[in-house]
Amino acid sequence: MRLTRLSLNGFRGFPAPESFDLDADAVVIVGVNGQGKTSLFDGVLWGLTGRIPRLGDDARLVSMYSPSGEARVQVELRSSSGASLTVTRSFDGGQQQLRLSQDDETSLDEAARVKLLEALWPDAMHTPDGPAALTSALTRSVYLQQDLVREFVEADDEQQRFSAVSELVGAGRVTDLSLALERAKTAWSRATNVRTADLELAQSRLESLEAQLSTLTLPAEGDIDVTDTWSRWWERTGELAESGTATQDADSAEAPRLLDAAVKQIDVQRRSVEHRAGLLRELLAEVEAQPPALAPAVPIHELQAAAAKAEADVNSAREALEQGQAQAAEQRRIQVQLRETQAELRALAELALRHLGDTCPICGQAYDEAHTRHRLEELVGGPTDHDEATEPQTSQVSALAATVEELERHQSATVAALREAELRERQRGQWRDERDSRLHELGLGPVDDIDVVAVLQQALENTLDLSAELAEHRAHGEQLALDLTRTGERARRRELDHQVDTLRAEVAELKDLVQAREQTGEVAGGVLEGLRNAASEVVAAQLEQTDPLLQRIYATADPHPSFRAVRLLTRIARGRGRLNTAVLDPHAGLSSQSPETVLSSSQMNALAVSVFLALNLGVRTLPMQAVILDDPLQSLDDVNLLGLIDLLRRTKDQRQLLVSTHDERFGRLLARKLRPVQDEQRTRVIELSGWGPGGPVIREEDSARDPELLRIAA
Amino acid sequence: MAAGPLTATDLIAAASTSLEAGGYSRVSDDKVGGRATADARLYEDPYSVVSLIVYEAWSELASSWTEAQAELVELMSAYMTSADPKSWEGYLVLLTPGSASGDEVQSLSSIRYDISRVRKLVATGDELKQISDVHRTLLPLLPLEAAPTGDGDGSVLDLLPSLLASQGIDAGAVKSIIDAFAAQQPLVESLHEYRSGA
Repeated sequence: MRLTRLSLNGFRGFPAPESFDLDADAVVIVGVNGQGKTSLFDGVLWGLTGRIPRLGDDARLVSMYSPSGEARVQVELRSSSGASLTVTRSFDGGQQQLRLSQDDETSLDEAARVKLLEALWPDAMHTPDGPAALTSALTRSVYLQQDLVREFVEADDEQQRFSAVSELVGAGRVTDLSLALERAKTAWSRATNVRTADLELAQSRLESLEAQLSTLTLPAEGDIDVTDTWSRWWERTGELAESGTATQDADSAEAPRLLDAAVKQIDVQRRSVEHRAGLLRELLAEVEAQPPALAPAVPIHELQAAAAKAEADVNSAREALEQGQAQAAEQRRIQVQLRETQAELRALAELALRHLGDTCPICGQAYDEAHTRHRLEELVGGPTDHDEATEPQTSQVSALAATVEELERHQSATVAALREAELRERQRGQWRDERDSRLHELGLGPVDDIDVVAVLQQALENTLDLSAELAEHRAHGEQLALDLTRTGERARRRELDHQVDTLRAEVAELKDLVQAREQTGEVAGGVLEGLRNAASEVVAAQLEQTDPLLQRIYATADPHPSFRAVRLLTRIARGRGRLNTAVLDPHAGLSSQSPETVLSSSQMNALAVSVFLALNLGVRTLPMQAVILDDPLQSLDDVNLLGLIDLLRRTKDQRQLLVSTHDERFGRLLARKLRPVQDEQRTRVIELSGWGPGGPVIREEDSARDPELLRIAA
Repeated sequence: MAAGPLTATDLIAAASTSLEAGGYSRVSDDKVGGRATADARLYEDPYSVVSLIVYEAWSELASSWTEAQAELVELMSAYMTSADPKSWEGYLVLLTPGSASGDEVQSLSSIRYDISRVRKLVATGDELKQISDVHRTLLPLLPLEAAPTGDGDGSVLDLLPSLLASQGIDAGAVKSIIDAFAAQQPLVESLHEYRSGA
């Protein structure tokens, strides 16, 4: 980038709008102090960076005579490819506004700031404060401010000098790279760890598969074709068993489970058949061992008839007994009544005898005493026992009672016999019912007693045959299951073999990958370790590369008759770089890292400008391909002045050169020395004078090119 | 062959080579006239006129330089007026393999600081030990050669491969990381691809 135009309005010494044509290889600005030379250069710095550290805040940049109270700067630049860039920055007393026009695109403020950094110095974008880094780069390598000429080499301490040069050469990029690599390495390690975990998982799976494989003793080859056996077995199953036929092929995954279920079902069926055989055997034994006591001795109906007759006999005897007993009782009642009447009459007779007189003592009637007496005495002496009359009745009753008792005993015996017969009959019926029920349960249906044994024997024989067939079929099923399992195991072995082979390949691939990734991580770690001091070393290397140029520039200026060499000495201590400027007397073998102690003020200025130009010309990345020197010729004696001017003349061949001087004589010298010597070259001279509230009087002109380049040698 | 002190022939030859390489045209001897000697040559470029004179001894230089300066000024006056910019651009290069000592050093400094008519570049055998010393003496007259630059081109990161290689780190590996960093590609993956030969 090089400057093509600068417009100022309200900025420092330019209260009114002014525009300067800077599109030249060399621009010489001449004016006594206070005419705006430094303001013009500051305009470039502020326009591009928005800050002038030595002046402080923006309020100090606004011209006190600015009609608007604002400061506005427009810097126009052109790249080596011809693209134009216009930066317009203004300050309204409160805040800055920035506008960037580039390739017909305009952006504002933050977006403009980013694009400006991208266009001028991308390295600044990787620093915490891009504009500050750009400012530092500009003031260290492009714009040598008048107040800071010597400070550049003598004021900063060695670390600050190194830090400043670090910014200039873009060493921050090394730190950025280091940080980015550290982050990337961490992420890489994380990803590698994931792959290591995958590897461990695959290895674990491989070990598990290999362990499984080791338990499979069957060789992978030697399969038996179980298809026919499978079909036949299931066909036989259909014949023998209640379970259905196979719904899957022998090679299906379900085959073992189906076979297992069918074998179990057959076993269940076999046990059921054996149970049936047991029942049959038991029943047959029971039938064959029927006890004879159970056969009835007397038919029950006969016993029932005898029991009924005995009951009738008892009842008749009881009726006769009851009648006899009633008759005897009536007779005894009559006898009792008679004995009571006789007793009463005797009592009355005895009483009357005592009172027997001529008349009746009661009714007074006359009576025959003797007769009465006799009569009374007969009454008193009449019979007293009448039991003899009842005896025949009692005897008869007793006889009847005995008959009843005898009949009742006979009846009891008859009934007992009947009960016993009935019980046995019931028991026999129950046994038969139970047998018939068991026969029914065994599916043998109603069977005549006489056929039971034969039927049971036949059924038992059939059942035992079926049981044997089921047992045999079960054994076949087991063999089939074994063959099926062996076939499955062989298939499983082949599958495992395949899986193990695949997994081994996967593990090997993962091992290689992890190993390669770990090695890459180690290399990245090595690079990272190497980068730790690289920022400082890069600066040192950059300065080392710059050293011949510095020697050349210093020799070109040639400010001192003895100390004719200069070195930028770098060293790295505790990871931090340090920079000193040393002047050397090569022939006397002397050197000093305090140039101010051996050089005059004029020589120090020449040294400072030399170092500045060396950095400008030696650093590969610059914000602009320009050198701005604000009045560097102060305090220079004549020989140093000429040396510097000769140096500047050679500098303008490499960089756009903007240089100011307060001395009109020097101005003319510069204009002449920096004159264009080729058609495409241009040297611009700007004179500032007569400053007033409206700003300086400005006169611009191009320096004339020598029409005849070679006068003598031509 | 062992290198000995530079001779006057060495000096004139080395100085002529440097000037001609720096874009100077040698003025033919017939134009120089009486000043044309084996040890004196005149050069010109668009900016300036340089009179190169080599003396065998310091004493000769000390006694003759003013005459040489006068001859240069006279010659330039013959070809240009005082209004011509180049009329102020005469340089007198005074070399000798001889040494200056004592007060002679002071005299040498006086010559160097005397810019009354033309600027003088003076060097004695004390400084001119080898050919490059001649070139160094002439540097104020020669073009500068700056490091190659361009808009946004180049980066200090380019220095890293060779820098880290001195620590035994593969320069190609470092370069793959730097290239990825510049292209905003994954750094370690790019390194891995480099190591894998991808």
